[in-house]
Parts: sequence; structure tokens; C-alpha cells
Amino acid sequence: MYFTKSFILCSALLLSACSSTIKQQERPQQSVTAGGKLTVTSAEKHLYRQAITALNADELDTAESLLKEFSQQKPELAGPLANLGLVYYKQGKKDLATETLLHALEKNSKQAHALNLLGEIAYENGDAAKAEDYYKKAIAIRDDYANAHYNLALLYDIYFQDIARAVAHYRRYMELTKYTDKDTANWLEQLENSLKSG
Amino acid sequence: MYRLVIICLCLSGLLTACNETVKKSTLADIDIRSKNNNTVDIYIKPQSEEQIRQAYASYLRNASKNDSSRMTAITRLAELELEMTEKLMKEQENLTTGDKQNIDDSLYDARLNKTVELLETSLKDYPQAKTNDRLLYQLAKVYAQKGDHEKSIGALQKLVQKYHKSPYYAEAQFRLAENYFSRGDYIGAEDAYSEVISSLGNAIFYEKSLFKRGWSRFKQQLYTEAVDDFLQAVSSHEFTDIAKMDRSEKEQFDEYFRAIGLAFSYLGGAEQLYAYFSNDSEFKYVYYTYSTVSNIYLKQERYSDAVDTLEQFIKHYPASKNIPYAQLDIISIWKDSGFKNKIYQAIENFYVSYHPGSPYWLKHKNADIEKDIEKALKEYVLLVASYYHNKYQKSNKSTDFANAERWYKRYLQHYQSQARQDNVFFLYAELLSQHHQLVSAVKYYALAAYDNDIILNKEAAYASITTTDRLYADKTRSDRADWLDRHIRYALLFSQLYPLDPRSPNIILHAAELAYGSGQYKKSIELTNLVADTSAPEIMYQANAIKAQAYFSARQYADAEAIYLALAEDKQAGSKRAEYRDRLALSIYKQGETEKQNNNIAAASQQFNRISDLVPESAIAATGLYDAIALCINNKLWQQSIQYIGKFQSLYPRDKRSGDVSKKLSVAYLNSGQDIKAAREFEKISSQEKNSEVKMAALWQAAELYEQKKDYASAIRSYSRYTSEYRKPFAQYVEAMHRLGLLYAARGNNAEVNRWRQRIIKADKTTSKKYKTDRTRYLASVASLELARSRHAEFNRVRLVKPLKANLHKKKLAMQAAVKLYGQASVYGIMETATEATYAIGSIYGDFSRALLDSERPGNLGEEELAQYEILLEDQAFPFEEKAIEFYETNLARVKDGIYNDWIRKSHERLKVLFPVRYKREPKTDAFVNVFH
Repeated sequence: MYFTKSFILCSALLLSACSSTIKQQERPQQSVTAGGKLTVTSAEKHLYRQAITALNADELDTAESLLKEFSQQKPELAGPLANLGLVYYKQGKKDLATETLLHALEKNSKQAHALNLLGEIAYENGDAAKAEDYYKKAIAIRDDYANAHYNLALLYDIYFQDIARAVAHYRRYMELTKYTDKDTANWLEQLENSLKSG
Repeated sequence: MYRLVIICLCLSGLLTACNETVKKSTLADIDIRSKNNNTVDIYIKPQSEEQIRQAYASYLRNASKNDSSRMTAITRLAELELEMTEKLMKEQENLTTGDKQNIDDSLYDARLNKTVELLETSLKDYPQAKTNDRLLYQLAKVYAQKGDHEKSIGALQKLVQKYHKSPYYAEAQFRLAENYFSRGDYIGAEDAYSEVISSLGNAIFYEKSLFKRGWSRFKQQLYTEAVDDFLQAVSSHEFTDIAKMDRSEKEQFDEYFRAIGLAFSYLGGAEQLYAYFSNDSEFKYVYYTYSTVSNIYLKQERYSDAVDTLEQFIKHYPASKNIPYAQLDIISIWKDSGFKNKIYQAIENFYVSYHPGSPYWLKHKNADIEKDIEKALKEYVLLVASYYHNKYQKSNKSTDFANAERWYKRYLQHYQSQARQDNVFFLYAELLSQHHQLVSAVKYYALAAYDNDIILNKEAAYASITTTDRLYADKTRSDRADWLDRHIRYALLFSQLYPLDPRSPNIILHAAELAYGSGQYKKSIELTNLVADTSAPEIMYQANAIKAQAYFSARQYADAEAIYLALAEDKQAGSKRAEYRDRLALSIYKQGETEKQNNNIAAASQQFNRISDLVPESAIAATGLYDAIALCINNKLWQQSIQYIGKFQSLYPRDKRSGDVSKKLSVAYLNSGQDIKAAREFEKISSQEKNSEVKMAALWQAAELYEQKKDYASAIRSYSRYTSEYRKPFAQYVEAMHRLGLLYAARGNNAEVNRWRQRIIKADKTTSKKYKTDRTRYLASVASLELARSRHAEFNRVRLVKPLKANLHKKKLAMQAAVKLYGQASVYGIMETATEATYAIGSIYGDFSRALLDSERPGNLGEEELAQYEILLEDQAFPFEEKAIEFYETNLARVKDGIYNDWIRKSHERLKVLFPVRYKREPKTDAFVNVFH
């Protein structure tokens, strides 16, 4: 828990410099204000940090309230909407989550987190094709998006029973997470073996 | 004298006056009555005539001949007596005939005699008296009154012999002349009249004497002298203009000229006239004289002489303004004489010379004459026209027609404004009509008959009707429609004004028929409405027949209905009664149609229904009722439609629409919430209907209704019958079996439920694919599934307890049966059942695996044997678990095909348990999104 809080704090500190740290392809999406510069006040930044902290602490109602407030102040931003979608998802409000995430994509069609979460919801709804589509889009935007690779691998593994493609994305996931996920590493190994015997 | 004084004193005693100065009394004082005492201031009581007369008589009785007043008294008394007799005479004249007889004639005679006595006495006693001319005159008069003519004449002769200068001389001579004339002594009369003419103071008798002397001379055949006297009398009289004469004046004027004419006629006629008047060109009565002579000849039927006289005048006096009159008189003579050829030629000549447009009038401007001539000419033009017209009517010759037409045209040219009153329009029209010039005839009939819409001449109006009818009947004409319109118009006018004319009914009926035939229905109605209520029944009947048709064709159906009803009830209808009743029915039907078009649904249906009340036997009655039903059905008037249907079924059970009506009844029942009744109707239809499709549909409808209303027995009966009678279409057949399964299930009859499920599965297997639908496949799959579930439940009920082997066998059998049925259920391509069946098979295998592991252990095993037994059980159970995973994965594999449902989700859940390493893994969710955008 301590680790998580520390991580959040670090992440929050990075927020102000987010535009400089994100991948090149995301940059045009930042240009939502005049002059191409993202203008967020200190107060707004503070508010956003509070929301993320609440979300991470599973204080979902607080997070929801803060994110709504922030979105009202900065309706042009996709990030807060993606986070709000995540809150709804965690609250089990899948329809509201889907609606909010799609709203986020309207603000920024390359909001990879939103796409990934939409893929998850489709997966849970048994809509394999839609899930594959969302995941692939997320990965196309951010090839280093580990969770998206994992989720796509799981989709191929469980629903499509396409072991080869599942293995490819498990491997990428493992690379991105620096092989820290041992359960997945074991399962990947089994799969690779089945492919070899196959 | 003494006596006279006494009389005076007596008389004065009668006076009440009190004059201051008493005058000397005279004989005249006796006769106060004779004095003009109007200006006397004093009042003197008047003497009565009798008192005066008695006073004079008394005086005379005592007066001597020498008394100077005696003669005066005698004369006065004579005058009084004469006055009394005249008074008596007047009184007698005022009495009635009966009373006259009661008058005492002797008193009258006595008075006259007394007068004569007094006058004779005076003349005798005083022969030289200066006033004896007067006494003689009075004596003549009294004798005349007494009827003693000779003595009267004698007195007059004495008077004229002795008193030439007497004021009574002229009269006396005149009376003597009259006496001579009456006795035929024309010479004496001529002399006496001449004495009058030449005497002084003859003013009263001068003209008369001239005239009578003329006659005296005439009697002596001295005609020229007679004419002289007559004309002198005329001149003496100074007559005013003839036109201004009063009656007596004119009579006298005519009397004079009759005498003149007569004299000339005896002189030798026209030539003598000219000769006589050539010396007196100023005489203003020349023409009148000629005319009079002509008339005398005419009365003597000397027509040629009469005409010749006038022609002589025309000849000798060409400049006379009376020439046209002479011409007219000539025509008149010919007319009276009966010389037709001469008269018509004379009229022709006269017309040419003196018609209103003639140049004659430019030279002879005289409004009065022109007016007279125009008036007379008009009469003669009419006369000639009438003559030729009559002739043509008899001869039918075109020359006669031409002459008649010429004269009518002449009339119309000059006197058109009077043509109506002279009936010329009508007569000319009659002429034209006989000559078949019908168009022109109508023109003049119309002119004669109508002033706008007012009929002035009834016969002309009638003729205009018959003639326009003839023109319309001429089918070669292109303007027939116009003639028909006029015919109808004239017929209307005639019938409106003369509804009781005996011709009116036929006029109306004929025109109404024509109007109807040409589509002028309103006119036809208007005409027939003019038939008087008092008309004969057959007329009323015919009028109604036309009127009804007209109303019907004019779409006034309510009116048509009323008339047809009357016709149908009319005794004269006879064999047409049925037709009228049919038309009556149709009229009502049309009212229904109209209401329907106007969307007045209730009214329309009532009209349609009404036919069967009023004319139930008519052909259209059933149709009307049927339409009422349909209308009510279409407009959801269910109760009303049910009522009508009941009536229809009662009245027209054999109608070809009975079946359809039953269907409608079922629909009405259905929609009015009477589903069971509706169902029964449908069931009835399914038995009675000939059309198999209808039968099938009705049976299905009945079954569904029973089912809805939970009348399961009836529903099962209907569906069962359906499945036995209709195997096609296949889908409906399978549906019926499915419903039967549900119905039996509702009643708890599982055996029947399963029987129908088996039948569905069997039917599906034995039916060609082309007849199957998604629904049949679904129902077959559901049937299989239900059967499988049944065996699945049986499988679940069997527990692996002792006797273990038997139960294991039993459970395996149930497992195999259920798996087989689930397998069948999954092959229909229905994902809903296929995924359930797949999941169920997985479950059966999984459950069997666990059942094996959980089975009751044999009690006689030792610990090691038990351990081996359990290993054996696990070996037995493991393949079934693998089979379960296989079926769950089969389901899960359907996700990639876009199929996902609860059975797949459950399969996934089961896999998470059975194969957690693989399946119990979830997608990885971000903790949060760490970007603004």
C-alpha cells in the first residue's frame, strides 16, 4: 500500500510534465486549447490529483465526484473521462462506464486507456470481436501498453483459442512488464509447449 | 164699381200688412200672386190660385159689359183657368197609370171649357180689343188641348188673317204649315212655311221651317228646291265640326243630310251632286253629302251606285282630305255587299296608298285623319289576313299561305305593338304552324303567349308547348336540346298558371317524361309537383312514377323513397308493385351509401338495415343488411353488428353470404369481448365453410380464442382437430402441436405433453427441409430440449448409493438418454437451445464425474482397498470431467462467432472451476489513467 501511494505521488508529480513525457503520437491530442498548449491551473491539477488518489484507494464515490467536478471545469479533456469510466466500471455500472469512455474517445480518439477498458467490458459481455478491436486500437496507439497486450492475449487464448496469437501478445506483455508476472510466465510456457507439441 | 170696391176691401182685409199710404185699388190687386212683390218690405200673405180665381169669377158675375175691367178680368181668369188645366195636366203626368184613372177628368175638361168660354166671351164681347191675337193664340192652344183640332186651326187662321204683326204670327203660321203638311197639303204647307221664313220674330221656327219647306217641296218632287232649303237649314244651323257634335246635334245633322242625300238620289245621283256643288265650292259638307247619298244607295242595296257616288267624289275632288275616307267607304260598301273579290282588291289598293309608311301621309299631314285611317286600315289588314288564312286552312294551297303571310307581315310591320291584343301573333303562328314552319310558329306563339314568364294567351301558350314538342321530336334537328328546354319551360309556366286545366296533367306528364329522359331531373320533379292533388288517380299515379324516377336519378333518395312507397301502395300498381318495392329498397340503400360516403356510419348502417324492415323481400334487402353489418364491423360497432347479424341469419339463412356473416359475427364477438362466443362461431365456420383455407383459419382462430380464455378443453379439442385435419402448412401444424403440449402441461398431463413433444420431433424429422422454418426448428429443438430436461432430471434423481451397480446402471442409462436428447436438441441450428444443450451435456458429464467421486463407498473395504477403490473412482471420473471441459469449451468457442448468452457464460464459469489455470484469469485493468488527455 505504501508502494502504491508513493507511486501515485510520483505519478502525480509527473502530471504537469505529462505532455513532454508521453509518446510522440499523443502530442497532437494535447492541442485542445488555443495556441496548442494545455492550460491547466494549479488548482485544477490539485483537484485531478485528488480524484486519482481517491480512485486508487477504491474510494470510488469520492473519485466519481471529483472527476465529474474536474470534467465540468475541463470538459475538453479525455483523461478525466477515462478515469470516470474506470470508476463506473469498478462500481459495476458497465453501461454508464461504456457511455463515459466513448465520451472520452470523442474528446480524444487515441485515449488508449479508454479503449483498453472498453475492450475489457466487451470481453466480459462475450463480444469477442469488439473486444479485439478495442484492444488492437489501444495497442496501435501505445505499443508499450502492457495491459492491453495481456488482455488481447487472454482474448485470443480463451475465446478465440488461437494460441499462437495469444502467445505473441503474452510475450510482449511479459517484455513490457519485464517478466515480473510469474503466473503468466508459467501459462505462457505451457502454451509455448503446446504449440511446440502441436 | 161698388162691388169692386167691396172685393178690394175684402181682399185688402186679407192683408196683414200695414202700409202707411193706401194706394188706389185696381183689378190687378186681386192677383197679388201675379205681382213681383219680392222687394216689398211688408209681409203680404199670398193668395192661393183658387182664391184669386174665385175672386175674379165673383167679380165677373157682377161686372157689366161696360165695365172697362171686365175684359181684363175675363182674360186674366182665362189665363188662370189655363194655368190650372196645365197644372192638372202636369199632376196627372206625374201619377201612375192606375191613379190616372182615378183623376176626375171632368174637372180638367171643366177648366178647359171654362177657359174656352172665357176666351170666346172676351173675343165676342170685345172684338176690337188689341190683345185679341193673344186670346186667339190661347184659344187655339186650349182647343188643341181639348183635342178640338179644327177649332184650334180656325183660331190660328183668324189670328194670321187679322194680326200679321202679332208676335204669335210666326208660330201660328208654323202650326198651320205643320197642319197642311200633315194633311198632305204640301203646297199649303210650303206657303205657310214660307210665311214663317219671311216673317219677323221667327227665330225659333226659321230653321225648322226651312227644313220642313224642303220636305214640302221634296214631296212635290221639287228636289233641287228641296235641296236648297235643306242646305239653307244646314247653313242656318251652323253646325260645329262633326267630331265635336253632341248626340242630338249629330242626329239633327244626320237628319238634314239624309234629306239632302235623298233629294240628290232622286235627282240622279253623283253627277247631279257635282253639278249642284260646282256652284258652291265653299260648302264644307260636300263629302258628307256624297257619303250620305252613297249610304242611301247602300240601304237600297244599290251597291254600284253607292260606290259610284264615292268614286265620283274621288274623281271630282282629288285634293279633298276626305279621299281616304271615301276609299274606306267604298271598301265598306264592298264588304257589306259581299263582293269579296272587289273588297280584297280595294283593300290591297287602299293599303298600298294609305299604309302608315305611305308617301301619301307626307303630303297630307293630318294627324286625326291619319289616325282614323290607320285604325280602319288595321281592321282591313286583319280582315284580309283572316280571309286568306281561312282560305289556306281549307285549301292548303301555298298561294293562300303566301297571301295570308303577306298580310300578317304587313300587320306586324305597322301594328306590332297591338298584335297581342288583336291576337295576330297567335293567328300568324297558327298559319306558320299549318305550313310546317314550326320554328317561326313557336316564335309567334311565344310572342302571343308570354310576357316574360306571364302567360297572356292561354291557347297560344298551349300551342307553344305542342309545337316545341314537335320540334324536339324531329330527330333530324341538331337543336333538339334547345327545343326541349323551351318545351319544359312552357309546360311549367302553363301548368303553374292553369293547374286545373284539363290539358295540364298530360302536359306535365309528357314534359316531365322528356325532362327525365334528358337528365333534367330537377325539372322533371318540378313539373310533376304541379299535378294538382285533385287530379284523377291515374294521373297522380303516372306523375308519381316519373317523379320517383327523377328523385332517384337526382340522388334525392329520401324523396324517391317516399314516392316509391306511395306507388307500391297504389292500387294501380298491379304487376309493377314488386318493381316499385325493389326501387323503394334501392332508394333506401342509396341513402345508406350517401351516409356512408359522408362518413355518417351510424346513419348509414341504419339506412342499410332499414331496407330489411320495410322491404325484406327485395333483392337488395339482404345486401343492405350485409353492408350494415360490414360497416359496423369496420367501424368497431360490435354490438350493433351482432344485432344485425342475428337479424341477417334469421331473415336470410340461405343467402350466399351467410358464411361470411358468420365470420363477421365471430369477429364482432371477438372484438366485443365475447371471445368464447366468437370461438364457437369460428368453430362453426370451420365445420360449415366450404373454403378449406377459411375453415382452417377459423379453426385456428377458435382454438386460440379458447386458449386465451383458458377454456383448455375446447382449445385442446380445436388444436387436436387442427393437427388431424391440417398438416400443411407445416409451421402451423407444428405450432398446433406445440400449443397442445403447452395446454397439457397447464393441465399437468405430462404424458400428453411428452407425446406431443415426440410428435413434433418426429414431424420435424420426416418433413422436407423446404417446409421448415426457424420457428419449426426452434419448436423441434425446444421439444427435444424439454424431453432431454426430463431425462436430465431423471438422471439427477438417481443417486449412486447402494445398490450401487444398479443405480450406476440406471444413472448411466439416464445420462445416455439425456445426452442423446440434448444432442438432438443442439442440431437444429438454434443457438439458444444448442448452447443450453451443450452446457447441459457438460453439466451431466461433470455431475456424473462428481457423482462417481461422491458415490457411496462399499462398506466391506479395508483402508488400503478403499484407497485403491478411490483411485479407481478417480480414474473412472476423470474422463467424464474432461468430457465436461470439452463441452464447456465447445460452448465458449462460440464466442468468436459472435454468439454469447447465459449458457456460454455459465460454461465459462464452469471452466474457471474445472480448468482454473487457463480459464480463471481476468483481463488486467489499469488502476487509473495518469494523463489529462
